[in-house]
Amino acid sequence: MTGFQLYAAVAIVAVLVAMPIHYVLFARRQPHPGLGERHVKRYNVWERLVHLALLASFIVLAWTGFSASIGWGGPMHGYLLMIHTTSGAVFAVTVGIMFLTWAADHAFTKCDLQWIRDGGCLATKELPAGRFSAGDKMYFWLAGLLTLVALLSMLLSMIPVLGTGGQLLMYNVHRWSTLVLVLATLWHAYVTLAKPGALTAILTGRVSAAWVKRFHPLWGAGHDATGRK
Amino acid sequence: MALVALAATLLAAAGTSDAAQKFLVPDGNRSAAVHRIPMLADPVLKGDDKPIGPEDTPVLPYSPRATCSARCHDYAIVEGGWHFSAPDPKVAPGRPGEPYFLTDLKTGTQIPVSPRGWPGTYKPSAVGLTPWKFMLAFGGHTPGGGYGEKFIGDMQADPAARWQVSGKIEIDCQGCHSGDPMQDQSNWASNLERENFMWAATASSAIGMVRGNAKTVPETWDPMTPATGDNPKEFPPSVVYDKWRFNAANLTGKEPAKNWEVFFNVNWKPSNERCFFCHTNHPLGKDAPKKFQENGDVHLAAGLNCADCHRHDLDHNMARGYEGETIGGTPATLTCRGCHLGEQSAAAGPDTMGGRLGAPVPAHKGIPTVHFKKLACTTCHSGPMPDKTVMHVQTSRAHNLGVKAKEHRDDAPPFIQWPVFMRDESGRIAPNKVAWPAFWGRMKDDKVTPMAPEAVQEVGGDALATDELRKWKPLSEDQIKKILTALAAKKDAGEPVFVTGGKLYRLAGGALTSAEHAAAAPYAWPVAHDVRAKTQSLGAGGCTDCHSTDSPIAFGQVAADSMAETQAPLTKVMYEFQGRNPLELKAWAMSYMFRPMFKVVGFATAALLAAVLALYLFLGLAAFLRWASKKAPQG
Repeated sequence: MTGFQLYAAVAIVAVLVAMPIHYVLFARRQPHPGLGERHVKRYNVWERLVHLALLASFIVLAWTGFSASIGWGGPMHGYLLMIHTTSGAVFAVTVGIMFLTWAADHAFTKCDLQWIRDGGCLATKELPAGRFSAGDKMYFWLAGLLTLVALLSMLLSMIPVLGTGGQLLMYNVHRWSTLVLVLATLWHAYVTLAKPGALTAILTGRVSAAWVKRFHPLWGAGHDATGRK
Repeated sequence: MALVALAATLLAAAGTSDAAQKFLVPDGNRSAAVHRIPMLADPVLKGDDKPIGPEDTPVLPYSPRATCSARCHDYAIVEGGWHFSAPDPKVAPGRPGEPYFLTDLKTGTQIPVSPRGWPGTYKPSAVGLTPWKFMLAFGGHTPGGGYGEKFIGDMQADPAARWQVSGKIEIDCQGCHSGDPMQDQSNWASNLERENFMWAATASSAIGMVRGNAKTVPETWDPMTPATGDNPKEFPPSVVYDKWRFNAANLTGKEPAKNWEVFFNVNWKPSNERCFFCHTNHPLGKDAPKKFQENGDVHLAAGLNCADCHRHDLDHNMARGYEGETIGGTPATLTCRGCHLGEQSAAAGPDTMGGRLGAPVPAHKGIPTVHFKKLACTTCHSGPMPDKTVMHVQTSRAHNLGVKAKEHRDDAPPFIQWPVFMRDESGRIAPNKVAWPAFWGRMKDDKVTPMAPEAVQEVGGDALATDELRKWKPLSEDQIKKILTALAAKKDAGEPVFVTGGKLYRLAGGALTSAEHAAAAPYAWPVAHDVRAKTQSLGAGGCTDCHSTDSPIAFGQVAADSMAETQAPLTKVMYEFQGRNPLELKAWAMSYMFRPMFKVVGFATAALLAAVLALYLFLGLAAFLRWASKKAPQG
């Protein structure tokens, strides 16, 4: 077993174990907005398509990549590699589109500082947030940064610039950066699913007014999408 | 009592000391030892261990064993070396290497033979080769020893053997270590063919001239009383030494004859010329380079010797240079990786670092590291550049290259193809030489046992091909049927079969049928040399040197050489030897058409991500600075 296999397995298990603990201790104790008519359009079709493409390509990338690096501890090859690289291209383009679509709404504002001060995802009360919470924003920028690192580490190894040592470094950078991205995305997925009504929002694009008031109270209430007044 | 014990201890110590001093122990001086030494004949034959001289009666050939081990080199240790130990069952066979080929034009035979028992080869005894016959057939391209001396076995067991006349084939030390431009291994080979076994080292050394032919004298002939009587057909071996080779003082008669000395021009490290006699590749075909066009191995061009890497201690167990090889219980570090990258498995020290012998550390820019796990270094760097079909090559040992008395034909068997890319023992793809076995045999329970060509000739009679002008001619279907029918007369010996071209031919209800069979699978051994320059390596032309839908390494064609007339030879594609899926290979190769576009899109996306990240980082920084300026004390 390689060091990467061990650390990756431990880290993934740790995140998976942290989820139910967090749910029992914090998420379950948060006030429930209740189900109401979903009159508020949270995501348009374009946003949902981009997110769906991201989700699909990300799952394929993680599955194929970690089957090799965690599964058998060796390099990918054959069809697996072809699927991985093809999905990589889709993912890279989609991340670019996602950045153009959502970057503006993920700019940090003062209310995000308050969100953090009030305990963030450990809080059991309502927190100030615009269209996206500070937690969403942190994930967004972290995912963007890690995608950039993962993308560059692969692209640089495809051009005759780096020698064997550099190639090895890029390979390590790629798998470690994607491991962190996967861990962050697992948590992002959990936080989303733990939020009642969030999955429906991703699929249909609509939420209830109560849901908005509960999770994103500043959005549309005299604030812009970032939560700025 | 104590005194007796002390005396015994001292005597024992003295004995140990004498044993240690029996042979010269090198004192570490790096200059070459000048070998002006007494030259000895076989003391058993001569009756004493006094030096031989040019005017002795009779003039005996010198004995390398007696001469070299008289004071300096322990022959018993040397003869355990790799080049001499093939018949020794106690010696590990190591990675499969080039076999000897038992060929016969008449019967269409080419059988890979090796005493080491490499899978796919046959032991000499399995094809009727006694030590005597083996050395007669192949000894010319051995350095002696082995079957010629230590492993002769029971002399009485082989009625054809004439060791009592020919003498043994001692190791010809000078065959490798001579620095004399007159050292002629061709003479060694031709003297072995004439059964002048104990004269061969003298003949090749050019210290003297050997005439005669031990084949022609009766078994009662004695080299100490060489007169032959009146039979004109008898031409016994004799030696005439070049007098100027012996020290002048003796020639003037001023010193007693027992002090004869001869200068042997000895290279501690053998020169490449000596290695080449047995280790030469001669590419064939219209595109094969002529001798003046060959570039040779990049290491030799850089000034290295074969023996710089293929080195050894007195035990002569030389580094063959492949990964995983162990010498004396320790892993060999004289490998491509060992010199160019360092060998991490070695004990701490310089061997763990790259750059030995000035080896450049390769950059391998743009080559993902997965290639180094899946390919041997030789895949990209060794042998001829692969083409869409494999080429043919002759080798010194298989084709008697370098022996003046031999006729050489490009169409002479054994037929050897290269480079064929196959998986090695560790699963990596590597270039190989390949020969398709061809022989008549008997099959029992699907296991095929080859027959000696002589046995087939006896039965085959007129049905066999003629070897007029020693030109090989494929066997027709009719000939194969006739011979198989003749062989079938001996029913209890097993079903007669003919193996060639990757197929096994047999009679079924009077008709000749053929099918692929394990016994007909090609014997392969790795290609290591010549190593090509970096810019002539696979991959220097880009990824598509290998990752293309018609790349030779994956889609090159290997048509089996057949000794039978055939309209459609069995043809394999390289990926079949590698156990790879052609659809997968093609799909992966086709993805390289989109790779430039992928890179453009990838870098564009990366630039976009970087720009957005940088923009918001600066915006965040600006906001922070605004906040900080507000918080700063005013005034």
